[in-house]
Amino acid sequence: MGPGTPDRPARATRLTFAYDASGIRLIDRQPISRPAPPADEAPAQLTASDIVAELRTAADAATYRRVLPQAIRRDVEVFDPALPGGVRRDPSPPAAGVFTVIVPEDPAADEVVLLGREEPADVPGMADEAGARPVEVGRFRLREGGQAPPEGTGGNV
Amino acid sequence: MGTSDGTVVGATKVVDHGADADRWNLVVVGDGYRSDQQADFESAVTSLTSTLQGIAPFDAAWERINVHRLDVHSDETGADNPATCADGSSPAGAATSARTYFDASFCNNGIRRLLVVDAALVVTTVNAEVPEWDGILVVVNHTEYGGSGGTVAVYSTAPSAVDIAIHEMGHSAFGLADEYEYYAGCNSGETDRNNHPATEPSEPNVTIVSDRATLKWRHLVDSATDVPTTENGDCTRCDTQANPASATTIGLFEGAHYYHCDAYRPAFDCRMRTMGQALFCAVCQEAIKKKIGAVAKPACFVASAVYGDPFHRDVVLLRRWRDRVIARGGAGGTAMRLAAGTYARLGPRAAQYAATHPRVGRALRRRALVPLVAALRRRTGDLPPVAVTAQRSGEKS
Repeated sequence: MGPGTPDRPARATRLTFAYDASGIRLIDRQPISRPAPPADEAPAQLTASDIVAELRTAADAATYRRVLPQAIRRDVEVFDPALPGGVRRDPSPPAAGVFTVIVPEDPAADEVVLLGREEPADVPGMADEAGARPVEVGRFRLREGGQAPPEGTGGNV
Repeated sequence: MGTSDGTVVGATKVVDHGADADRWNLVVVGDGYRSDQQADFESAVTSLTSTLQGIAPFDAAWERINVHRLDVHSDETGADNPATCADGSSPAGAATSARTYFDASFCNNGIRRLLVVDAALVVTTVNAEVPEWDGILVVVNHTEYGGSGGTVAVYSTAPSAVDIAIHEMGHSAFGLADEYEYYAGCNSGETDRNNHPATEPSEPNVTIVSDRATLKWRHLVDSATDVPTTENGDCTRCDTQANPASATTIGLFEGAHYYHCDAYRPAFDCRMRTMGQALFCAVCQEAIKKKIGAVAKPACFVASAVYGDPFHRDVVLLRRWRDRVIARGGAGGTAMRLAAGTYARLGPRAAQYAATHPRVGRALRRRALVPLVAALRRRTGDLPPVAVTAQRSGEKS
């Protein structure tokens, strides 16, 4: 196991989120024996597929942030040997999906907040152009049994 | 459907290069394999592993990669593949329906080739078996060609469908963009793919920048290579011109990221552009190595520091020579194992010293490592990785 640093504890937790038409759910918290990746800067803008995950304290201060490109899939890649190049995109979004984020073990953090783009683009196949600033799309307890808001508070995706 | 249709048997580390916390971990999961088809799944994983090991940069990075096989037995073989699909297609063989653990099915979103599984169930299953996973592939025991991407890459056992898995792993595990210059297809009649928006993509292998001085892969572009290397003369359609450079030339080729013009890719062709293409371009290779290097410790601390690249050809040769001497056993193997153990304790400090004292590092490279590597290469040539044996994941490596 790689040693941690004061900024990067040696252990971390992988949070797994599932999404469908009803919203985003936190479905698994798995401890891992590896430091979390370094934190990302706050993005100026997001594509409709991107999600930002932030650890927040009880005072709602962000202690760690990761940008997750293509977390919410807005289209699908189709593979067919009959196609030139063998691959294309189709603008129909998958009915459900999953994404994960590895976060440091931080006793000061109570919740993970997910940020996404406010509205997906309404033009089929044009959903991934960078656009509006991030807005909150979900808020979940980091540890089971806490007093934070109930799980499954994610908005529509 | 789902977990009532099978059993999770457990994970086996089929390529073991060290503790999972210190390696880049690929997990290969099976769906639609009955218990009596375990040998077929093992064969599929062996085939995938061999394929991956032959593709740059996985070949040079191999000693920093673990591969885990997650055995899951389904009640029935295959996947759901209905007789009719909204795209008007018919299955290549007979229509099938199968009760499998991860609910593999074709014809999703009305597209025959779109083969998906219950990705949330796959991820939570893998979380429990191999917590430090970095990439997940699911091989579905069905011969219809198909697959899909996302956090979990899915592919069938059809010939060449493994290319789907490797392409999708480029997205999900390594953050690479698609390099093709269309969305629905060059012959689809699409009219909204002429010019890329004026926003720089975040991925490392596509850009809207055409200035050599600020190009994000400028360090890989030879000064003799034109920038742009190709330009599309008709932005209403895909560029059909032939490659004016060599297959491995890194430059600036117009047409990428789903647009005919104003977006560029690093190479004429790449696995992120065309199915069946053998190579990842050098820019993609560099991005893959960076991701692997971010989680996997170097095994040759000093050489990695002195060369400034743990995947340098000389560093790879030194590592493989050491592994071979250890694998041979006997007095030489024992001595090398002891030396490697001592080196593992002292190496990081020595590497840090070499990295922070460039003159020492340069002298060490010139006077010690280069002659040693030259002598080794004369004797052995470049060595392939040492074969490793499978063991149940979680066992001491």
